Amino acid sequence: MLSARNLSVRYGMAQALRGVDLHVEKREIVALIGRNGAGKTTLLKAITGLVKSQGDIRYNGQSIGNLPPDAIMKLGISHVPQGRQIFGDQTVEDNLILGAYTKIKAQPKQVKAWLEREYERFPRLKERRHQQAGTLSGGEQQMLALSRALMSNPDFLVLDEPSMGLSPLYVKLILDTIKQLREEGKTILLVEQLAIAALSIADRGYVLSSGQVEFSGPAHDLLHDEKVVQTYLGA
Amino acid sequence: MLQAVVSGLILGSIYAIIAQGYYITYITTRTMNFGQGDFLMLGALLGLTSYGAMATSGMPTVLSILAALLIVAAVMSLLGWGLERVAIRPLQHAHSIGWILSTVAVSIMIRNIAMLIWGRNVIPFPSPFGSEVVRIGDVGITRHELFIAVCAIVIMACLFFFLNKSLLGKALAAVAFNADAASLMGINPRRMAVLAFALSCALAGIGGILVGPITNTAFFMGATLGLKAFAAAIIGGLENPLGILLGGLLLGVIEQVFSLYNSAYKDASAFVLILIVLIFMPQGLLGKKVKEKF
Repeated sequence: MLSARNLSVRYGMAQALRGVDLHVEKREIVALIGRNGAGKTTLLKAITGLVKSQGDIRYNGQSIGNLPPDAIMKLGISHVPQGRQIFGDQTVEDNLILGAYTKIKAQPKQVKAWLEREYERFPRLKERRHQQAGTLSGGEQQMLALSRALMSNPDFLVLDEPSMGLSPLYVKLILDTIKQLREEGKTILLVEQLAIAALSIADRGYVLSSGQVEFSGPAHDLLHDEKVVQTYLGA
Repeated sequence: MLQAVVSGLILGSIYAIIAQGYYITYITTRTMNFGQGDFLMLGALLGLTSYGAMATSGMPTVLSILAALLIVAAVMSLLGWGLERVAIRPLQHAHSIGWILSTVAVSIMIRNIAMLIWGRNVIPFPSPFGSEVVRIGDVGITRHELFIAVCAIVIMACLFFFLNKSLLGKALAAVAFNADAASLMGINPRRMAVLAFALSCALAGIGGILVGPITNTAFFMGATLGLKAFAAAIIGGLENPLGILLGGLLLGVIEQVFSLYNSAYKDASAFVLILIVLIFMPQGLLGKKVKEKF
């Protein structure tokens, strides 16, 4: 469904990604793990067009490497950025409506149904629909960011550290939601600090280290690979 | 005194309309058109010419002034689009302030072109509504001033509705808040920037038509008005449209009240007001002070 070949990104003099190969198949959860600064977020940003990259990125056979983020999003890839990045000065409902910005003119009825679907997924958002999004708690903001990304009914979800700064209860809720999204037919590329948790819901995983793919394979194998466990998952 | 307050409110509402133009481009692109005043001048002259042409060809007054407003708004939006493409987009890097110079440069060009077209002399802009004065108690208001008041209310209402209630307004606010996140929603930030500049220039043009009959029109009329509107925006708080409205009205009233005593105080009072506000409230009267939690 999505493939990246020989992907490189530079920030000025610093090389953030060096020749990364990666592919994600339909209805898979693929986890991307690695230390801080390994290039995980950069890889996601390169895929959704937020940073310029060299190499070849294809989505359903179409080259998307040189498209701007708003064009890539219209192909059905939704990116939940690190730190949630909700529109804090607008209401919860307005945030969700903006998530459907590209669809609302053509399919107003569908969007309404999707809004109800998201309110059902996270009833807390419905309770707070008229509240300013910036006043939500961290966990609620993460729900909002996830729901906002789902409002365009994407096929492919890119999630950047959805567990960041959340209490264990919320982490479980978010991870369960991700599993459930696969059941709904979504394909998911997930970056996580909580590597064990991420690999335990993923089908496959990639381990990034200084901008390169160090290990890759079925999530189950990575979880039991001694080297991976020692370097990245240990204590 | 009451008379001065009323004419100050009228004048101030024009400042406020022009100043909303600064607000719209500032929140979406963190840049402003420092030539706003000269775009206003162009709007005034263009409005005068197109209104004159239509009125002499026998169109009814109300129809021709509405048509003139529409023509000016359309032409100015087009110019705003051009301004964004030529003077803002190529120069807008993270820390570049080149856009300040480039918008001033464009405004100087416009001023000189206007001088070539309309000449160096002050052109009287007779109000389409005549110079008849309506008396309400002790206060005399010309019919043109009434027209300004109505226009200002309508424009402000439309603007607030557009910014707060419409999808496009929400998208504009989203780009202002976080352009990267907005682009992930499928919103094209560049298109929003063009929209902001088109809107901003249209507001300047409309402001020009409104102010023309009060100040008369000439190629140099823009500088002071643009500066006053900027002052209104700073006084009210650049990121708050309500504050800008308040800032504009306050500025207009203070100017008119001071000019009761000595007309030389008129401009001075405006800038003393800015100084006082900036010293005690650097964010402006209704500026934002705190941001959300992370």
